[in-house]
Amino acid sequence: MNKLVYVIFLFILAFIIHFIIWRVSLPKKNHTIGLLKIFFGVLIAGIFFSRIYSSVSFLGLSLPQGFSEYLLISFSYGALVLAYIVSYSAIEVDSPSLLIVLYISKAASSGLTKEKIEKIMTNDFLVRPRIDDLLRDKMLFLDKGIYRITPKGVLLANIFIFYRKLLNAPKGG
Amino acid sequence: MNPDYLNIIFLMVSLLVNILLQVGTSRCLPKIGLLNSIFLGFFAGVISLFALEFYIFSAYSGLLKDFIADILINLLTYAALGYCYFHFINLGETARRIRIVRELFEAREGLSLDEILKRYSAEEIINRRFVRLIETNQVILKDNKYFIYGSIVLWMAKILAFFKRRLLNKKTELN
Repeated sequence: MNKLVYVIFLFILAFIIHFIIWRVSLPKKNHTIGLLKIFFGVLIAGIFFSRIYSSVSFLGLSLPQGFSEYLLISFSYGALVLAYIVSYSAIEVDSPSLLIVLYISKAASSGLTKEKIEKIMTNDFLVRPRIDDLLRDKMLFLDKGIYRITPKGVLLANIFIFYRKLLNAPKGG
Repeated sequence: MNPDYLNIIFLMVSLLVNILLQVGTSRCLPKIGLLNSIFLGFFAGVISLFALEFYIFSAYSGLLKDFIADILINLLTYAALGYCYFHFINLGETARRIRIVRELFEAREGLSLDEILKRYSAEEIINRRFVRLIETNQVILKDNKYFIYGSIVLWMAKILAFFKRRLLNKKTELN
């Protein structure tokens, strides 16, 4: 049980540090890099702590010991961090489906027409910011008013085209 | 072999079972739908994880409390990995950025903004979302107006809005 408790403890500790840093000074650029530094910094510190204070125990639980336990802890913790980072993108950028649902819920019993939503959720709201994101991430570049895909963008497109073909799924969006 | 190493190997095997079954059902039984194939794959992975963990328990004749502890940490890890896989599929299904990159990949000569919008516009994005929300019983259409019906997506939206407010000190884009 000590491994499970230690993984959860490290994750909560890293989340608290991340929360405090974000509240004090929100990173201006790439949030993911900041998150990775915090979460993996805590993991490394946690493993060092566990090696140095190997005899410490709390509520009958001892600290993890040995390379194999550290590896399992790192694997589990890494999976939790990855899951948090993919969820974080949904916190950063609002999903249209979730916005539609929030908007309909605000209208409550009077309901909402599609036309009202279309007035708010225009191309400038839904498409252009995502094109700007792709330009910023160097997936696309703008050449005399024409958007072109970069090798990085080709790689991303190929991954998803391959997987959608594998699933026999149509073009998404 | 050390049981901790076996735990990692078995986690990866269970994730592989999940992916293979999800891809297999998605290809061979398209009628069950993408979401159901994801659930099916996920639960098949859980079953394989239990079976493999039971193998460790019996092969190493360990204590029941160690078996339970291993099962719990591995279930947590597997759930996180399964969630990441679900998110990966969902990106291909719904992400606007992926769709735009695909459109530009297909038009190797590049596209102007107007051309991109002809291929993928706000209208299409909204229509696709309404179809999905109605199909999953989250929203209903009555007298040309939409109303909330299910609560899952609404709760997800509220939770994410809460985190956005607390963590980023921002409101949703509609505000």
